[in-house]
Amino acid sequence: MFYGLLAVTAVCTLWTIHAIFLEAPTEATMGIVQKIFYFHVPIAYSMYLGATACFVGSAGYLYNGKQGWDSLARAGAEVAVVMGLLVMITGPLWAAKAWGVYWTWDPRLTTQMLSVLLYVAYLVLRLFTGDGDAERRFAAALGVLGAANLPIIHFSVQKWGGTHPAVITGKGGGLTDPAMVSTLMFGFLSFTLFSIVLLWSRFRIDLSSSRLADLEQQALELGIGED
Amino acid sequence: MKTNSLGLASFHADVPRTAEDRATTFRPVTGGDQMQSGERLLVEAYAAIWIVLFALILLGWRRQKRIDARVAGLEVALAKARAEVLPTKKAEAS
Repeated sequence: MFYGLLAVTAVCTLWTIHAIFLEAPTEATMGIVQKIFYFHVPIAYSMYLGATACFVGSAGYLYNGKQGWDSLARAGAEVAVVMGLLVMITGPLWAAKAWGVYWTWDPRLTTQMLSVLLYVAYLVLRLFTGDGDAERRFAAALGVLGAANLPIIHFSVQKWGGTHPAVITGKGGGLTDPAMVSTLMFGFLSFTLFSIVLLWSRFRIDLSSSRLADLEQQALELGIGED
Repeated sequence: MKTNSLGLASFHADVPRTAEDRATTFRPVTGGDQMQSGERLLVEAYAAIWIVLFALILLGWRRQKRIDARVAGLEVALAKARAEVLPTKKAEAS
């Protein structure tokens, strides 16, 4: 099933690339660089998906302490970091053309960076502090608290102004051409599938690593060597 | 145009000699701020995404295979060890 999902993701991704370059028209003011929009926004949304998975996994682990929840939280944090970093690569490349600078301390950009740093902190914590229950619970608390920044990122544009545009709002978006809308939808679909593939892949790795640690412990108790 | 004693035009005759002669004024022009190529930025953004995502999938797949192989090896070794230990314990007990 995993490989089936991977195949569907690959097909959707290829179609999205086709739509971005061959279907969506070039934007009148910004020109071709505006096409970054069709994957910049879905990637930002994918970061939210990863962060939500981290939140759900962390809350679940704090509730019942089962390995599966912890693996979900860790996988979610990894997806949030990767997608967050991609947002922070594609955004400045677009800004270089649209604003004339790669970075500005705009509320949306600043809160986005804060969120990425929070999930980087989560992963660093998991990587360097062992794998005991206390460490997992501390990380789970961070995973729950880290999610508090997500609505702040989302509403920062409406509440605090700044330079970052708000194209997709509750009152309708700024996409005037149907091909622009359909391309964005394909982008969302592709990156949702990509996020699920990544989450699943990291979740499996974490569960397998945990199983491996158990077996290694049993092997030590039975006095089996490295072979 | 200045000419020399042979009547040939002097190549250096019109070259400004002083700093004032070389004074240049910079004037802004509308639409002249296209410092970055949009095409290049788009390709850079695309390349960054696909390199990162495919590297992540590839590394994850390799790591999963390595862990699976190690788990399978350990399970076989543990089963063999238990099979050897259990008869010994039974013999000791009897």
